[in-house]
Amino acid sequence: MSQRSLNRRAVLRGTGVSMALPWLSAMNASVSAGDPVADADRPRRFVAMTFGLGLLPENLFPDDAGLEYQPSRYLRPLQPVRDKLTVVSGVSHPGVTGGHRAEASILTATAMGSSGRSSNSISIDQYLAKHLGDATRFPSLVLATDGSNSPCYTESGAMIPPMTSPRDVFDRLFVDGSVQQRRAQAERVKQGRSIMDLVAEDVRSLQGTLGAGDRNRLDAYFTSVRQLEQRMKKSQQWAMRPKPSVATSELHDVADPNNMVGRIKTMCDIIKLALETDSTRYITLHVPGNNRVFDLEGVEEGYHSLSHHGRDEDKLDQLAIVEEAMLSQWGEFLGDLHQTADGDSTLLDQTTLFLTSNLGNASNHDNRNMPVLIAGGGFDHAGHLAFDRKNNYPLPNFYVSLLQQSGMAVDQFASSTGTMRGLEPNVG
Amino acid sequence: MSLHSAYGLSYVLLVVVLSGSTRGASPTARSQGGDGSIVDEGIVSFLNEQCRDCHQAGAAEGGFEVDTLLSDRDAHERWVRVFDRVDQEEMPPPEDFEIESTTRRKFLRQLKQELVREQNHQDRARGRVHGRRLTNQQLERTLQDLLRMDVPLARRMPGETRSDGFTHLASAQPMSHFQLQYHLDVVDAALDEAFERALQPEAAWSLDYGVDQIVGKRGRERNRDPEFREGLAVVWCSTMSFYGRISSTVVPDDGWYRITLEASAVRPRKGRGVWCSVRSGECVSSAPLMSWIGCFESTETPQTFQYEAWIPKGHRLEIRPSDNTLPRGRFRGGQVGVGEGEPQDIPGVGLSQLRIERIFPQGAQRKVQDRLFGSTPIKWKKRENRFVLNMADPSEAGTERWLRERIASFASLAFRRPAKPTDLEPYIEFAKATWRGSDDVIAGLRSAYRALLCSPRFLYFHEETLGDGRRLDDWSVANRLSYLLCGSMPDAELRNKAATGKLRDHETLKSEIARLLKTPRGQNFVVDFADQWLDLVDIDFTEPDRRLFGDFDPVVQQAMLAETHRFLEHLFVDNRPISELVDADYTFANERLLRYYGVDANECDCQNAPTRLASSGDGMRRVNLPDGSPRGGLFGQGAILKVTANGNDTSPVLRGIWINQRILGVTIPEPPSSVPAVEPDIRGAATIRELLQKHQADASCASCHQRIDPPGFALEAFDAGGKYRDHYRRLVGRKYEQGSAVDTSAAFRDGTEFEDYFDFRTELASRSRTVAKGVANNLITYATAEPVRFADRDVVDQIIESTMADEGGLLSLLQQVVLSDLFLQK
Repeated sequence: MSQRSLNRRAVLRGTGVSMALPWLSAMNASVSAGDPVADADRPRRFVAMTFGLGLLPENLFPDDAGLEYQPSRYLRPLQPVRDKLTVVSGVSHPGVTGGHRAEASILTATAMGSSGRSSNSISIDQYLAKHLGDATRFPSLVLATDGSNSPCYTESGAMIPPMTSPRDVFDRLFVDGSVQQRRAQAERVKQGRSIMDLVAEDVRSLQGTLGAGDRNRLDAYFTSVRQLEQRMKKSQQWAMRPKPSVATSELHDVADPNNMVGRIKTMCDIIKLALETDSTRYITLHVPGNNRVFDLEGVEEGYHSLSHHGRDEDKLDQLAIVEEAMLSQWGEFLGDLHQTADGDSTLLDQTTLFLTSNLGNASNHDNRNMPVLIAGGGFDHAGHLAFDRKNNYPLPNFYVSLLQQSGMAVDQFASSTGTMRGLEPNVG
Repeated sequence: MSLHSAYGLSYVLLVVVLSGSTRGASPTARSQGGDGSIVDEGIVSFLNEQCRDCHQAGAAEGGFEVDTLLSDRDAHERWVRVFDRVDQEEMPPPEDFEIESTTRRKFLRQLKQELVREQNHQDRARGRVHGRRLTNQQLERTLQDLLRMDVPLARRMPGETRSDGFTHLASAQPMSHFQLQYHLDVVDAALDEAFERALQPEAAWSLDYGVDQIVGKRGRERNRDPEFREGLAVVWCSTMSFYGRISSTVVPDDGWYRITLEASAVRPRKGRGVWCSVRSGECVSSAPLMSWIGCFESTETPQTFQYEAWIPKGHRLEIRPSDNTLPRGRFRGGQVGVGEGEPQDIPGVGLSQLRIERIFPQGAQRKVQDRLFGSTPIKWKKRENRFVLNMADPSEAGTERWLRERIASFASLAFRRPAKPTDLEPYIEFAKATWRGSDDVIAGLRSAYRALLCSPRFLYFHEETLGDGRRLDDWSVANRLSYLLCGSMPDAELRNKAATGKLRDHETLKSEIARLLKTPRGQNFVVDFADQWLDLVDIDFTEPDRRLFGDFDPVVQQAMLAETHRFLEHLFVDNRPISELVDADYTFANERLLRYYGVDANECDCQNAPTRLASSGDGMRRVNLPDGSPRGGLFGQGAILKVTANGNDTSPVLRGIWINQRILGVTIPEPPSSVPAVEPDIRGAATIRELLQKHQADASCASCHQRIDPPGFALEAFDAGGKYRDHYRRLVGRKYEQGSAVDTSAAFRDGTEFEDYFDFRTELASRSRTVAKGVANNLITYATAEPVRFADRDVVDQIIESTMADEGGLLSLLQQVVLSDLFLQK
């Protein structure tokens, strides 16, 4: 894998605008040689991959705990980065139930209740983006291979719709439109900002005529209107700066929805580009539990049907093929990041990778014993971190470890009870 | 909190919980409130005397602690649960305790009074439903009706989460700047389309094919297009993907198209036709997704079928036999050559004519122009190759006046109530600024429309009340009614009724319901309602296991959906008794579905029945079923049985919960988190009944499972594909064999036993109030975007009572829901 540095000129064009320069770590590789960077100053990144249908525990969790574990079937493809990897068993989000519905809680750790009516809270990626995301053009990226759901939520408990087309993501990140297009777009954004100002006033005037219930609800709308105006303002500023150029000139969508592994791979490629160019530091890729028939040798039934295997050997076999292929793809992605420089470090060491699902057992919709894999991020990895599968350890503790590892002095996230035992933050 | 201090605090805290917590006062003010103290004391002493022994802190049975309840500020739902369990004599446990019925009744009366008082107080201050906004689907339809354009837009919005089954509960509708950005994008897409349609010459497109053009094979060519055979373009039965595509039918643009085709069956099996599907797609292996358009049963006599469908640019048609019970041909290498099907003695379909034309379901170009520009004439400007406005008074002042009028007229439609000039002034100023900045009056107008469509007055339900602060004004009622029945903005007649103040009259409201249900837009009601109420929106979520359900295919699935839709349409439009919802001696089906169900069409009396849901060629008819048929009533319908199963097996627990919540109006709480779910095991070592035995043994499980399991057991009569069964199937190696017998007997919680599914169905049909309550609860939730709360229960009872003269007729139920305070008050 080639180590590529960005064209300095490409980056410096347009720096006349007075904005904090992003880290641009790919470029930094050449700068930093004689100029060591303090560990704490390096950007810390986070990439979550979330699955809607769990992973068969018997194929994932090793029998033995600790650093010397014997790799399970699913962990075999990850062995090249074994010392940068922790597999965690016996963890879940306290109080989170509801089977598929708990997909909303994967990154928020907030229980959605029986009716799903309690409101959600901010997800860990958005929490990071909110506090640290201003350094980059995009505070975060929310991606999915398919569907319209993501596990990413705003503070107000609204789901952030994912982008599912790699081509669109690529265009957003790297393709500058023609001058004419950019001008038309800029004009629309400018008018959009005026409209947001106008509408904000209208919300206030309408609120004056309404009862308390409606009035309170419209507060959320008012906030959204203000925030969108702010976002438009930022994007107007970034619009003046050319987007980073990358060697790949365009990206094609994988049109065949059954080629799920291909879709994951394409998304991983673009995630790597986004990290390399420091376009964003917080990325989530969701792989939903749809009923596509994966185009893999030996797979004949839909993914969701397979997950309801009812211990049918034939279905378990097919499901294992699907899950193994997805994990192998994730392993390739890890290896790729391991080979890619990030300043004087590597992308793998600078990026905490997290793979999980809301379902510990998809066949009966159990939300306990979530599958959890953590890689990179500069953690002192623990091999197989085995907690009690009957009485689970709180997974939100990992989020606290992650926040501290990202440089935030935070000691609580959702129902956490501390940092994760066995995976403590180690960046001062 | 220690037990000791809890005793001392409980009185004060109870006052906090029951009387004060929602009045918005500070905590100090609350404890000083102190009204209704005698009542509160009665409640506390009941809890202390009857409940505390088992439910004390630290060692509480069933996870319920009296002390926590007394100190929990958001305890409303838990109080309701206390009420229900005491009311239903589940608590205190009758086997351990005996309490005087007067003690029980007094406690219930006091508690009810407190709970209702609290909620009424809250409603007076805040209203029952807060800040409801348009759902994705409502946004799409409103923009379409408002701008007279027909592009699907809902799919461009962020997906919606369903809570309590519904996507539009006001309390669960999220808002964020992400959401708003998507909204703005959709508004832009809608305006782009509308202005383009208004200002560009109309795009006509059609193709008219005879057999020669439909046939896509020349000479010895092998491909997946139809072949020429005896004067027809023929496609044989086969499992090959995209076989039956008509390569040259690629449509030039995203749009609505009308497809008219003439087809006949080739080599049909004796006595029946060949079922076929019509779909669109790119039909290449890199993009294999197909969109459903319709189906038909071809017969030896040629027939004409017609469909209207949204087809994305680049899609082409695929028309092919689609019946998994027919013998299918084998073809080499994924291609078919002329004559290769002939010797295999397989059925096929033969096309003789095909016409595809671009249509605009919202009407002609003039309608879009009217909505955007009013009656201002448009003239074609050849030099600019577009239409321009031909204003009567193009002066500065005249243009300004024109903008003002246009914006006022558009806003009144978009806001679904007359817009006040003062509210519009900022929008008018904005339009003027854009116009002056660009010297383009259309750009000015458009910028105002763009802003108006981001106003909360458009996106939210802007509801105003009459003098008493509770009753909604006519415009709010018109708005609620229109979104209930049409999922879109009020039509001209309803607006007219609102403008003349007629919607406060109950008879007018009733006749408006009947009128709207008969409009083309009103046909959405049963479909939209059933999508959410009965989960039909999830019909595609699982695919029945092919080894178990070899004869299941898309035509069957469409017929299942149509069955439930037609059934509900009939119940609502003809105001049929509520008992028929669960037990009817008829259903709606076509030949294919009856065959799938194993019902002999010759034993049934089939007749065409009036409908506004008819889809050309689907062959759906009313079927009067023979005695003893398990079909008839909702529970015998494939769509219901499919959405309540997971594709290969059934769970009495899941179906039981579903029936309780959707049909019986009983809310089932989540299971305690310490209980593992039953692991499905289709190897058949133990029957599901054996696995669920524990429920009856453990008192805390039994309290809910006495309600959940019995209806679930009754529905074990149907498998995951909706077929009737008397034995389970058991997996042995890779094959399914007959397993143990299905036992559908059980007892209702009140002890009434039923012998089997049939007995269950009859018993349920006799409980019309129970079923009416279930439907009413769901209708109220759907109609008002707020679930039925404790304080609403008396209203629900009144609604049900008022329909009993009509045996709980579904139209009466719908009308009474609309006439109730829950619907007509804020």
